[in-house]
Amino acid sequence: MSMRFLSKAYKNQFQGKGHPDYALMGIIAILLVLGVDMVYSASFVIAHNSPLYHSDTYFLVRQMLWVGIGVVTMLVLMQVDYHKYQRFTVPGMVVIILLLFVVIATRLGHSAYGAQRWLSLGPLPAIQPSEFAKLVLILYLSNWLSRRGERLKDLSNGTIPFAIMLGLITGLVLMQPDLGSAFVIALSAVCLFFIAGADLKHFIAGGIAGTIALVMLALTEAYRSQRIAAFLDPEQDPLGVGWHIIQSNIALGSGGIFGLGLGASRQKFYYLPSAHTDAIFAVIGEELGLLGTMAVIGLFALLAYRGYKATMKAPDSFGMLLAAGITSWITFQALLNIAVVTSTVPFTGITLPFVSYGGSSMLVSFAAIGILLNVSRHQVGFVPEKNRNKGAEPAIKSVRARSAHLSQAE
Amino acid sequence: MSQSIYRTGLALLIGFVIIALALPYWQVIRANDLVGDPRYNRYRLNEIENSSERGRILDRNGVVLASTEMTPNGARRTYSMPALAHVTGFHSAIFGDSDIEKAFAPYLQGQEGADPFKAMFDRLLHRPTVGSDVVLTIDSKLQAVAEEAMGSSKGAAVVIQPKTGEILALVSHPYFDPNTMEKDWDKLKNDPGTPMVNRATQGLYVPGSTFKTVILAAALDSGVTNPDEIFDFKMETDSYGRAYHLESFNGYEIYCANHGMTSPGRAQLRLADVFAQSCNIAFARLGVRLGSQRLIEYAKRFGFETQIPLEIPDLPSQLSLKPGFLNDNAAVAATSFGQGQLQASPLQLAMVAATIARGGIAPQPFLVSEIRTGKYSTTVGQPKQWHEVVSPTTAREVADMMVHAVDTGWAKGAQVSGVRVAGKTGTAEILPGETPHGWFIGFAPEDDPQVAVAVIKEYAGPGSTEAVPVGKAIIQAALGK
Repeated sequence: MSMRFLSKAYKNQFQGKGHPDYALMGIIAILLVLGVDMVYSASFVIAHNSPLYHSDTYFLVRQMLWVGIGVVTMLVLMQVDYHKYQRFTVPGMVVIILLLFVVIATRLGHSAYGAQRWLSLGPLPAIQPSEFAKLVLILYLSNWLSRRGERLKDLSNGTIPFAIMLGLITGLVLMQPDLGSAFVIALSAVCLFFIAGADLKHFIAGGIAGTIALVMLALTEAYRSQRIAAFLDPEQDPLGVGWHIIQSNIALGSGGIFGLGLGASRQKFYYLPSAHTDAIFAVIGEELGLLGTMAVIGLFALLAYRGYKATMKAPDSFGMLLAAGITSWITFQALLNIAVVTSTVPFTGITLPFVSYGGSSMLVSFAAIGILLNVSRHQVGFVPEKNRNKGAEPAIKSVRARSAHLSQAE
Repeated sequence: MSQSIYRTGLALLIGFVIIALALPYWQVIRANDLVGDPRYNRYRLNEIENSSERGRILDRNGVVLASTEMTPNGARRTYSMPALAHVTGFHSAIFGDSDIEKAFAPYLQGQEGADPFKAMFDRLLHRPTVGSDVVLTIDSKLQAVAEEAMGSSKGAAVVIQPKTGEILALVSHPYFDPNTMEKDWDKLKNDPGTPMVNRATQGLYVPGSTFKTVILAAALDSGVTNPDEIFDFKMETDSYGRAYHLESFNGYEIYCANHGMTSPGRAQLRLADVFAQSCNIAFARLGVRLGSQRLIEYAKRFGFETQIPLEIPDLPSQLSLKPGFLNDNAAVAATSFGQGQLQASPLQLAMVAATIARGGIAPQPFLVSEIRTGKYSTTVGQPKQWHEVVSPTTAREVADMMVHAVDTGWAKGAQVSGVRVAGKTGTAEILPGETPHGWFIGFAPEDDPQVAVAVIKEYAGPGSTEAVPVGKAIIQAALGK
């Protein structure tokens, strides 16, 4: 079969000219409105009192600026055929590894909260390479895994190269040090490896090795084992490592079902650390109550649903892996952030995508959603509205038939 | 590939379910402890004061007892009946809240109310909240009568509707004026008359002969005596010409002249008469027959040694100060006529009267009947039985003997024409040379109880002349006689 026998509508889908997933855009829009509101509410106290920031709206203005840049990035990337990234995945990976090295190795790293995650380059705003590493690694792995095919199940051709690449990136991110991001990166990559069709025995063995590595990491670094002790019993050191946990629990509890009202959080008055970044979900819980927190969870669950839906309809394995990787990463990061705030897992610093304050995180999340939206424009099985009544059959009926079709079409 | 995508999605779904369960845990189940955490002291009083109009406190007939006016200098709380200071409590930005103002603060401030959606929208939209009104069971007219009858004496009076447990009046003398409390704080705190202490619920006094009501009920209920028992005494005459009887309990000699006798010789009195005449020896005998174990058990059933559930702070009444005190028969004898190491609150003794009036079942006392938010109202307190104390037969026999005490005994002064009043006086000895506390407990009408009272006047003299008139005035006012 060749392309010219296909309907025009199908060709549009295949070439990425279908409509993007408007539902997904709607979800992001709601999260953004909520996020900008909450960032302002959670940050004005710090912004007002600190001589560093001059203005109550310091964080609000910057967040809106980043949202603006992010939206433009998303709209542009939505138009770019995702297949074009295939060529740049290897150079992209090299650049990101270099940047991660630079942060660790040089004095350019500007440290915050005892970590060296930011990179300042001249007059440009400081960036956080570990945030960019998430997207670049997903692009790289999607390309690599989609080209491996059946060789993936092979130990020396599949599992070992994958483990080396993953070990390198997570190792560098860990050295920033940024355990939260490293964890998100590792889990998203493993998700991709699993979806791409990894050998189950290797996969389980890798999972065990990863768990052991995680336990080792947690036990070797003093601050990490303290966080685990604080997770198990925050009252042991209520003014030290237990502080975060106790204050975020109090924020959630005092919000109750209906919340204290927009802007009425009391925990943001220096009680809750990182109120406008990592702990923003606790402020949502305090101001908007259980109704607000459940709504946020619902939005992320919908985002995951729409993301996987786009994955299932993607026309080729690169698109599928890309969409699955991006969806898994954003969802997983949101889950981890909320799990930390609700004391379901030990504390680790990670942002809530599209809600927390943070330029790098916002920009990267938007870029990822832009790519995901472009994948959603390449749906298989799409029948335009005007043709439906004429009994037109979808060009390709099932997902399974797709790979066969694509190999012939190329 | 699609199958593994389903699996990944399923794994993430499990993650969503776990956090969706964690949230109600913190935000609903644990919410109250977290807000109650002493480290959570984030309420900025001024913010709440200025954004809400505090609700009123009303009596059972809608009389406003406490209300807030907005003045240019901020909100001002006024109390129309300072004599109820120990019920309403005070509301102060400096000293905090007390009593009903404290216990019902979330309602008065409008954080909680009869209309849950209103509070939610007010909070969400930052509208000034209007606090809910708290309606008390107190009858301000009856309170005023009790107040006047107490005069300037120190002491307390508790008035309960025995069928429901509603507290109709609660007098504690002296009291403070909550309108000027902030200004007078230092003076009030150092006042030797302790006007800040709520004597009605937290004052612990020797109950004297009013405790014989507890012993009588216990002795009848456990079968160690019966209403037909005749008590035998050999009377002698002392140097003043009074007929008396002396009897020793494990080396503790009790002198008693309360037999209504004037000449020496053999005296025979019925159970109802020893109660009406308040004979210490007869009750010491009953107490020893009961034994310490049963005495303690019955007293506890009446509420001794436990905190009576109430919206404002109260103290448990005590049977002994030292553990093991009642192991000795001498101590049992002394306790049985209301001395020993007994310590009882006026609320506790009003509960004894109310329990007998209610046929042996203690009602649960309460002060707040409902919360009103706009046109909505929620019932907060309603008639409930606290627990069973003695059988209905026993309660009826005790009630008859309390009527006998008013008809023929020391409580004669409580007679009200046309009403069967039941009562018992008490004269509690403190230290030799000190004027005793005067007590009265009672209820009326005996056949359809509407009111139960306990009155104490501190260091005032015998109950029959000091406390009985106050009790009578309260009963008359409550019954509209």
